[in-house]
Amino acid sequence: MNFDPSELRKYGGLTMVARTLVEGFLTGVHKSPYKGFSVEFAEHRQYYPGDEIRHVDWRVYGKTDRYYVKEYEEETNLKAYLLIDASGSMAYRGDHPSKFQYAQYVAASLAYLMLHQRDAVGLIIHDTQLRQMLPARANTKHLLRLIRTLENTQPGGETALAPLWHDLAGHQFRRRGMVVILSDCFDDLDRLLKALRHFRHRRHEVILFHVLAPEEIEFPFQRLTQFRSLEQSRDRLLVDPYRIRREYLERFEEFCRRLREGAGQMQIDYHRMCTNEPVERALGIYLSRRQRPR
Amino acid sequence: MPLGFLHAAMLFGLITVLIPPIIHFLSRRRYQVVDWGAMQFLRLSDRRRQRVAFEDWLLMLLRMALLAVIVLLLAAPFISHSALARWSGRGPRDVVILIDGSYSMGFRRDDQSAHDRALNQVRRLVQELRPGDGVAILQAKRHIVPIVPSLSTDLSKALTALEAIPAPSGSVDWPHAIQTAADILAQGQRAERDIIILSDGQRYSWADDSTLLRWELLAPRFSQQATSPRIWYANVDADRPADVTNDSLQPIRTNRPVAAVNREVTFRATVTRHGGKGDRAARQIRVKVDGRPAGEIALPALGDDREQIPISFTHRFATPGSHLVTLTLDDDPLPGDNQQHFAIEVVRALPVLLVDGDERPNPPTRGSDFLRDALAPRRDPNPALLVRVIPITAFDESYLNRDLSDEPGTVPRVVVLCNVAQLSAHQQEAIERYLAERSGVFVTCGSRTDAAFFNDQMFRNAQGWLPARLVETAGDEDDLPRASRPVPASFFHPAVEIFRDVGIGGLADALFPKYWRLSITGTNSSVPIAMLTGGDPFLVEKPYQSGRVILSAVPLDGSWRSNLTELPAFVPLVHEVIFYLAGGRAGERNLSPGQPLRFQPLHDSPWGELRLRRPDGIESVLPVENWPFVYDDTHEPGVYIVFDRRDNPTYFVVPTDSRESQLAPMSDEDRSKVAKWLPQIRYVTDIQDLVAGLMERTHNVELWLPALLLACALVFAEVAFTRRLAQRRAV
Repeated sequence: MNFDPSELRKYGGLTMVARTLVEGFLTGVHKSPYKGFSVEFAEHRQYYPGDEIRHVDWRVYGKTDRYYVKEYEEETNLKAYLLIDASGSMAYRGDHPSKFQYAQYVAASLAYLMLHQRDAVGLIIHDTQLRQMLPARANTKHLLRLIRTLENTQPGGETALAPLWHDLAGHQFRRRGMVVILSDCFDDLDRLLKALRHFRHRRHEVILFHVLAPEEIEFPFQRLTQFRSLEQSRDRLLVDPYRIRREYLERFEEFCRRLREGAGQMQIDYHRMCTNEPVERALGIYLSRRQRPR
Repeated sequence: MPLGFLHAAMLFGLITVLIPPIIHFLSRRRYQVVDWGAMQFLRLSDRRRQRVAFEDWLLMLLRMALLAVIVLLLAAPFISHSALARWSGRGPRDVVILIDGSYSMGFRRDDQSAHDRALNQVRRLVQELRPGDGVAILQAKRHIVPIVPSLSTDLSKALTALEAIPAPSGSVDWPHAIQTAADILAQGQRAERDIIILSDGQRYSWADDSTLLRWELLAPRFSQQATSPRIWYANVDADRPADVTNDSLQPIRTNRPVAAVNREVTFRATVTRHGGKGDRAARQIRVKVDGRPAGEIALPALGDDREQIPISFTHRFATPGSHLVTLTLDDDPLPGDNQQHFAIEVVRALPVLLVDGDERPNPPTRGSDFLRDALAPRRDPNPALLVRVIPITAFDESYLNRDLSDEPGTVPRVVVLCNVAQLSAHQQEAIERYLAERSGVFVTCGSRTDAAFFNDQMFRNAQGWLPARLVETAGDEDDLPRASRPVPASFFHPAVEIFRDVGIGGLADALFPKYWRLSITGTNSSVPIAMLTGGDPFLVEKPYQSGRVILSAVPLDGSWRSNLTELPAFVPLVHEVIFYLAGGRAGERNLSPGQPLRFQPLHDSPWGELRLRRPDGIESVLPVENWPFVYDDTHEPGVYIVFDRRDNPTYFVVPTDSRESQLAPMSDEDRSKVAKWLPQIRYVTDIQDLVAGLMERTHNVELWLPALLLACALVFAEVAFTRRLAQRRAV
């Protein structure tokens, strides 16, 4: 049974969701491969043969007569930016949480995980315009601000991602880092790819989570339906879903294929995230990316 | 090339073609709303959108066309054109054969009747029909006797059914028969339709004035039909001589429709001699009463053509009850008009209620004593009438519904209002209801009569039951020399016709020094049946509802110094008037064709069953749920006998229409008159011509096969198209 973050959110807000998701995820992983030996003390653990002798805490040995090894948190200078699309189209919800809610869970969990990793995390929420921007910080208090900002944002407005991304790549993200994009990418694809190329040009690592609802992928509608645009209230289409399903699916898959291939050519990690999938998947993707040598 | 439809009314079904667009537009109004993000993928290309719209419209048009073709198929379309006959061949057809069932078809010549000839020709016609042809066979009389009632393709069954056809009797209603045949054809499925009439070419009932008028009324119905059937008139007895010698017995009449036991009743009839020149042999008429011989009447040998020979005979009935009088003429070539029947009711004594205007309960003498003594003399041990006298004050409705004596069946048949002044409202209502039951009322006016009341309440400006308005009293009872007298020349009415012969002591000797002047101005149905010398009516009759009323201008009670009560004519006069009034109910026994037969048992009888014998001899036991028993299938002329629980017969007679004896054939002018209203009629005398006509190549080509193929093609196209769309959706 999949864990449903929306249920948890009723009790403890996004913070609770993020912590539960991340700690559950880390418990599953059990041993963090990223725990290192650095300057900042993290914890003691029992000595096992093979551990370096220089890391044995002799002071503790003196007190307890047992060998303990001192572990230190690895220091990092990674700056990660979470770019969250809050345009109207992200508000779509079928039988699952809306795409924006899903993006919130993913973003909060990632932020929690990143800060846990001592990575600096920044947050940009935008539609056509920049709506919220929190610069990257690595302290734990920053998590609270991030999550509060996420919680206080409602999706709306039109989608024109490319110009803003150009602006971000050109002016905001000066220092090289990781850009995690959570968007449905419903924009002009050529301009979108060009903007992504701009990020890569600035040598950012880019993970693109393509957030989609299952209904958008499968188009399961059967009755005559009036589709009302979430972005422009006057934009309405009355169609027989049966009659256009084939063409819709063709066009949709073509869009996704081009986006995926375009991202691949630019060495951007493209991941289609469906709102009925567990959020933890995003965490795994992030960690595997983080583990990869840069 | 005109297009027609066998069932044009089905075309109203074309409205169903609106169902697909209505469903389409209604479904467009019922849709779900989804707030959607990926709008850019929903926007179809123009070409695709046009294609979707085109497919939608095409599917809708396919369905509309399918419904339209199914409706057209049900309406049975055909096209008719003479050019089509070249390649169409002789198509299947529906044929209704009408066999003349009137008694003129019983005319025998060369040991074979026209009816027999008609049956032979019907057999041949049916054998000439092809498998798939529909045939119905009807015998045409005043009503329709179904032989094969609806179109059947089982020709052998039709031939078998022909064996059970009834013998010809009565007359025939041709317009009704042809309308019935056209109605049967309208139920059929064939564009080729024929009505074949097998008759004897008689003018009467085909081209007489009354029938021509009915053809005129029928013609518009035929012209409205898309496929007016061809009508063939085949004269099966074309060689019959134009001037056939035949004697015809006319219906029996009598002056006493209701008779008393052992009283003489006179019956009258007429023999009409049709055709033939020169002398005729003397003939005999046998009289039977209740099936037993009761005498013979010799018909003189006369040489005149078309002579009406009146005959009369008298009879005394020994027992009360229903009796049947039958006259039978010697056999001749046309047996159908050689017999007449008459049903008469005989009572032990005719019950009469005298209502005297004298309000005293027990006076020593009453004015109505004269009438009472005339109707039922005290010295007569077996009077013809049973009379009861009551004062006007005692009269109420119960007297009209109960027996006057201990013997059952003595409910008063006639009520006499003798010189009454007024009637109460209840009494008037009772009289009105009494008249509605075919009873009779005799009103005498005298010194007590309140003219204003009579005029206001009983005459009611000719709307009431009183036959005439009372103007004033005329004359002076002391002025005998100037007294008025009845005028015998005015006695044409059955009730007074025996007084036409002026003799000593006859009605013409009556003196009326004083009388009520009666006026029938403004009335339509009142008839003076005897007049006075001054020009005023003596007796006035009015039929009211089902009963009869006679009003007398004098009191008939010896007052006003009239000598009428002293004359020998007085007793016969009141007897004739009373029996005439009682005869209103005789119409219940001698019926018109189709008039319902009503039977009320004399004794109280529980409901259950009774036996009825029809003129054709068939007896049936019929359930009775309440009295009177009503039987309405009396189209067949002849004697109907109802047997009660004690097996006592009650006779009812439907007389034969003697006009059917007019065997004169129709002329070319008659044919053209009928053809004016039935232009599609063709006369043939040789059955071979008729067979050849039926074999003609058809001009009407039915389109059911192309329509069916088109419907199948449309069904296939609709299914294939829908399937294709469904497959595309399933991706």
